[in-house]
Amino acid sequence: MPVMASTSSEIFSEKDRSWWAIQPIRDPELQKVSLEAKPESPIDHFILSKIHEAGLTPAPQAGPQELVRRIYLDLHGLPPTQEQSERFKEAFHNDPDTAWEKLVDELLEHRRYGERWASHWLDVVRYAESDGYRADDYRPNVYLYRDYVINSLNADKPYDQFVKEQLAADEFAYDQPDKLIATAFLRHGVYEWNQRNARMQWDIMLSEMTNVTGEVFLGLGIGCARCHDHKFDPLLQRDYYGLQAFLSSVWWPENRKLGTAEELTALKEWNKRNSELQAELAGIELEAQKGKIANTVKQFPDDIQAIYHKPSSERTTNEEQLAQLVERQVNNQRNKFKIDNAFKDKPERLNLYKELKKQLEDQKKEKPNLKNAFITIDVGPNPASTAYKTRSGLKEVLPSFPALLGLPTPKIIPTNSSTGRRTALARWITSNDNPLTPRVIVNRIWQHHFGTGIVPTPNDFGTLGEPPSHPELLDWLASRFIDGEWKLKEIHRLILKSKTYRQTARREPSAVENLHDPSNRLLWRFPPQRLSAEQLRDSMLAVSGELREKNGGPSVDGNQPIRSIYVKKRRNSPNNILRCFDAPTGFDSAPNRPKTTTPTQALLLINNEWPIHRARKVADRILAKKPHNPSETAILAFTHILGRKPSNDELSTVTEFLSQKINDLPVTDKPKSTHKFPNEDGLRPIEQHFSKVKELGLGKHALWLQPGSRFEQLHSPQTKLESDSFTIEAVTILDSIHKDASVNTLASRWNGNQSRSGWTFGITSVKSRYQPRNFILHLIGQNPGGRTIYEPIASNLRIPTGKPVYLAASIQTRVNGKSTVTFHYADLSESKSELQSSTVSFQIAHGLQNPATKLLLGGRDQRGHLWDGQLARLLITPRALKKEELLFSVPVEEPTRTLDLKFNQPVDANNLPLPNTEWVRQTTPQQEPLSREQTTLADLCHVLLTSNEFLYLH
Amino acid sequence: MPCYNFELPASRREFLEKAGSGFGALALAALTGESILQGASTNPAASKIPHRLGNAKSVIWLFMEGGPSHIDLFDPKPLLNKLAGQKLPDSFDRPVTAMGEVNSPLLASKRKWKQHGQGGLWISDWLPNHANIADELCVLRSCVSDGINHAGGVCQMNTGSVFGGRPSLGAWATYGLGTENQSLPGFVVLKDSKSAIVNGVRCWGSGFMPAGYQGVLLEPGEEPIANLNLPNGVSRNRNERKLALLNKINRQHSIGRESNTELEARIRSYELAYRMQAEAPEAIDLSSETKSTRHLYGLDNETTQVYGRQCLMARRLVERGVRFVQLYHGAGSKWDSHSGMEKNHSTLCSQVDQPIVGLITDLKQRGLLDETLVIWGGEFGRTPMSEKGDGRDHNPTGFTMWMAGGGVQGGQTIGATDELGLYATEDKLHVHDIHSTILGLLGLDHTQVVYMHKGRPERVDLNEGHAHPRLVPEA
Repeated sequence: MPVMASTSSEIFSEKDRSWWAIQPIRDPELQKVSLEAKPESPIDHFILSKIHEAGLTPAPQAGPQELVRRIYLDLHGLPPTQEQSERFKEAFHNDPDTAWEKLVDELLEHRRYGERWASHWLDVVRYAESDGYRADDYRPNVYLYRDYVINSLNADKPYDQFVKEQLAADEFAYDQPDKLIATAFLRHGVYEWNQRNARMQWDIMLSEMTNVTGEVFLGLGIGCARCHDHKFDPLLQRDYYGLQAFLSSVWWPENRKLGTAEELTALKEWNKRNSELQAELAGIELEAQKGKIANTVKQFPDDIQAIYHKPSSERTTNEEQLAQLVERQVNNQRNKFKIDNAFKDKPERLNLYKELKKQLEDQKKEKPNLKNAFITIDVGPNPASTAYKTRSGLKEVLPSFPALLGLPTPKIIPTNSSTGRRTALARWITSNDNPLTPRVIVNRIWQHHFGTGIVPTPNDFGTLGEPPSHPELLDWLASRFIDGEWKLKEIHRLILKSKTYRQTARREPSAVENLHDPSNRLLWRFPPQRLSAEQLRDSMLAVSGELREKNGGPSVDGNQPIRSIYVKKRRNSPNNILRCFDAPTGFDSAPNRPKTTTPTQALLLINNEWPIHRARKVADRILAKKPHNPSETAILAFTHILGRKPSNDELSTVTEFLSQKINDLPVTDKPKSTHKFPNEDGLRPIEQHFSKVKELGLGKHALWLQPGSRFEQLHSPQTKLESDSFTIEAVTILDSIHKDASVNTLASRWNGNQSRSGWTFGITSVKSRYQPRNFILHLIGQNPGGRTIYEPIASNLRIPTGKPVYLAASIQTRVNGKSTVTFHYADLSESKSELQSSTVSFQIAHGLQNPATKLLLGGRDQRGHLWDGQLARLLITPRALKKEELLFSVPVEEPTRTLDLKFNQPVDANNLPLPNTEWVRQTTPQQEPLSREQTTLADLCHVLLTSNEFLYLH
Repeated sequence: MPCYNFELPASRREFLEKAGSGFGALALAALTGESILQGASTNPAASKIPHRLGNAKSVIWLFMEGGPSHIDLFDPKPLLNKLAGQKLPDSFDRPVTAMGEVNSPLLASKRKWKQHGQGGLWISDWLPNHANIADELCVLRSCVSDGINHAGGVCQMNTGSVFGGRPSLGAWATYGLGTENQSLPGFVVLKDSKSAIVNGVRCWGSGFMPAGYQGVLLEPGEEPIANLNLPNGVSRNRNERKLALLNKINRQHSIGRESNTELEARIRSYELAYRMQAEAPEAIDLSSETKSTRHLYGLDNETTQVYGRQCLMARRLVERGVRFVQLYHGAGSKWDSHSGMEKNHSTLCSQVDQPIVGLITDLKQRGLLDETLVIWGGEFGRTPMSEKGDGRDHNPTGFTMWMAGGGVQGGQTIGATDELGLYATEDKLHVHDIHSTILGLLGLDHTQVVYMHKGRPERVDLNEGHAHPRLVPEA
């Protein structure tokens, strides 16, 4: 053990120097095994010799059924389709070895290989898509890193290049966006947007980068040495800071773009062309935001404020980093800033600002459209100083490698914009002489094929980790890896083609094995494994036939039938299925996933809607094949879900299940319990709220809109509305508003996508940025420049809840170059109600109507935003009405309406309030009533999808 | 940062055995407290006996989220009112505060203070009913944290680190002791509104431990635990028919695979889930409580009924063997009073005063107080300096928490802050010390509750905490 205070290299003992992981990688001789054991590959020699040495017996080779399921799940994360499985079985029957090798090669060349194996890498680099602190802000462009990993794996990019790009692509590939994005690696850590203790924050951020770099590439659990010499490994505190010094000059820029040299030049030129305009705008913004900025800066400690107020040219690199931490918070405030309020009293400044802004907006058509770069760079060519506390004061360190290795000082070549330190680090990490890197990565590959690594602690090759079970094998693989120019697919092939990998998992341990190796570290059989969270979710989607391919791109919600690798990863609100089955949350590097077995998982599998819907879809697929009898149905269910035919025993159990007569199985109709208000029909007598309302032509009933019930939204499918200028009028009552920032939407034609045309008509909620109960429109259409924009337009008319009201919005697009909306509101609870109006202008010129979107009453075509109340009449007129033409003004001549809904009749035989309408419910998707046959089959499919055979590879 | 009290393991094997092989079995055991497979060598549930005799068997943690003002509740500062309106005297170090209010004038406390009980505890007039339980409370006036923001503060108070990713105290306690009820989660969280708690599920997360140690959020209403209820349209009968078939198919599958203990554990997990469906709703159903109990917790009063219900549910849960219950009040940083503190704290104190008193009184009269440790506090306290004229900024450098029951001697005060209540001066209790003390009161030696993670022996206190010697004398 090293002695604490000393840092001289003489402190290392003989034992320290003989630490296995730092010994040079040797290319070991193959160990002799008897030919009787028929080793197929060199790997088998290493494995078999240990098995024999321990007096154990290797398991026989697995059959084609076991193999095909194993390899598909291993390499693609999905079970084979029936066809794939049949094709392999046939080929296997003819020539097992050729069939196997062909399949391995085929699967490694498929895009799904990258989609599956990327998730292993993302675990290790703590990939997530949000900040992880209180705000947990989403990182919209980080998905490009995920795509980078998938693409690199699929292209079989040499691992040394993969590592170099992640540590330092900015230093050698700044204008290659597909490489530059790799530096997001250093930026995946959590970030607290409002931390005022800037020094502590930067310290935490740097340590996080240092720890993860040591763990991911070198397998060194170096974090201990941050505060003291490592207690168990021969790593010094100085080593820790020597490593940190390679990284400590970095910064996470917010204003960079990803682009090729050409694109970046074009952008630069555009900026140059518009520099005056931009400077002028910035000047006005600064004038308006001065107070706000000063306030933000004032919240930092005095010394940090002083640094912030220095001119940038006078700051040291360390100071620049601290100043930039302040700047991020300033920018955050500026982004939230509303210039209209600041210039309330200076209309001429506001007008000037808007005019300039418009000019810039017009110029933007020419601007190269590049993505924001979620990358890491250096502050500049001058390195930050790195120092740590010792008993004799602060001690400065330069970049260095762990002292124990006795390596020369690294050679560092700065570039114009960077210190060059990270390139130097990457060069050492990826040199053929580095004893750690090749061992660490081949071990990770082994680990994901067999469930456990040769070193079972893949992020820690030190004393606190476990030693390798097969050190020679590890070195043999590392040697092949180096020989093969650091390519990963070759290592996969070596492993997969071995007899070791092809052993069956279906062999119980003998007494000897139970005694000497119950945990199967010697691999006397293939280790049984539970599917990972992603394998589980993706497999269910695959067998239900719903899985949709996605070729990279922004992440999606977990409700979509898309592979889990593309599901949004928010640290504080992970997808419930993936988290429940142990997907890591991304707070730190996760080299091993726990495989838990909990009642919470059981509850999710049995009661959650998601697996149940998958089961119904499988049932639909099976019924589409029109099986003739329960026995045929059962066979189809087994082959679809488990990829095999049922045994005779199973067949009789299952056919009995399918044929049982159970009284309370729903036969045709939806069961009662799904009806929240069984005695309601969606209409209420008009007298309940609107008895005092005269002259507005109401019917005998009002539509009763109830969130959470089957009366959520009414769809009017046959409404043809094409005009961009139009008027909506409603006689309605709002019972309550949402507690969050949702909009209480009475009418809409929009699906919530801010780049798709549409409009909504509603009232704001408690947490709205426009204050609660504000009558508001949301318009999405094209501005004069042709760009689609999203504009919330608040009337500032405050609408009471619990009172009958008249609401109207008269929307006029582009007359004399101006678009306006005039809002009208009247409180109908008073006998003499007066109309209040307000007019607001907006930018959109056209394109508000999207025929592909539903016209809905009571909400939008997306989750949430429902209206809680009643609707007595709704009118849509295909032009902007003048005040005297409104329903409320009782016009002499009725304008021609596109839609006029009032409710005079009781509900019809289909329980609909009006012909040509339908109820739409968003909280639970509409379900067709199931027949008895569908129900029992869906139940069987649900059982098979949650069975151990489906959940485990055994 | 210092890092002392680091014990060398006797052997690597010992570490691993104590700390976490056999994850599958372990996690189930954690949730249920039961050894799944009798005699399985990797099951640490078997060794889940306390390291020494502690009084406390369970913990109820009353978490006032947002940071209540210690200097207006439990820690009176006469000098503050004398210096009100002036700047913090130069003799004080300048702390880093969240909103940069270091140089704002000191704000007087408007409270009336009295000493209560035989121990003469100071409690302000914001908590009038607390006088009745003064002799049960041990007030810790010298608490210290590193989190100057809510995110970091709440994270550290729950997990020991201002940084995400570590297991919460409830996870450590369940990991160390297991739970006594097979049909209820070992670690339960309740909150007073639908507002999200800062950092969300991470506050009761399991960090690098298996997900099974995570706290389970119980939500009053139709479905107290996620996925507890049968899906829409599925009758009990139909569900049982499915489970029976599943069991049959899984049993058949197990034949010839007996060595894979996970398969058996999975089969058992469905049985446990089934039992949980029956027992969890009953545990939080308050309809069987008497009128006088309901009155005691303030259920008959509009102001107190919300937190009263939580407190009463907490008692029912610990009665049923739940190990760790956390009751958030003011979910979404409601105690955070940067301005208008008078109104903010008056309202919030009136919501919790009677329910907390009711809980302590009820536990005592049922003989449960001795074995239930009740903890009160927020993620930090508030500064003597004003903010926006009538509020106070965050103060992690000295603030108050209290403990009651669980073998803690009531009616006493431990530690002190300076004359303005800004810094803890005597007997400092860092969050790490508080966590160590709580494990100590549960009979666990916090230096022995070790979980191996990425080759490092991890402890609840990041190797930095000490159990307070007066509270845990054997430590």
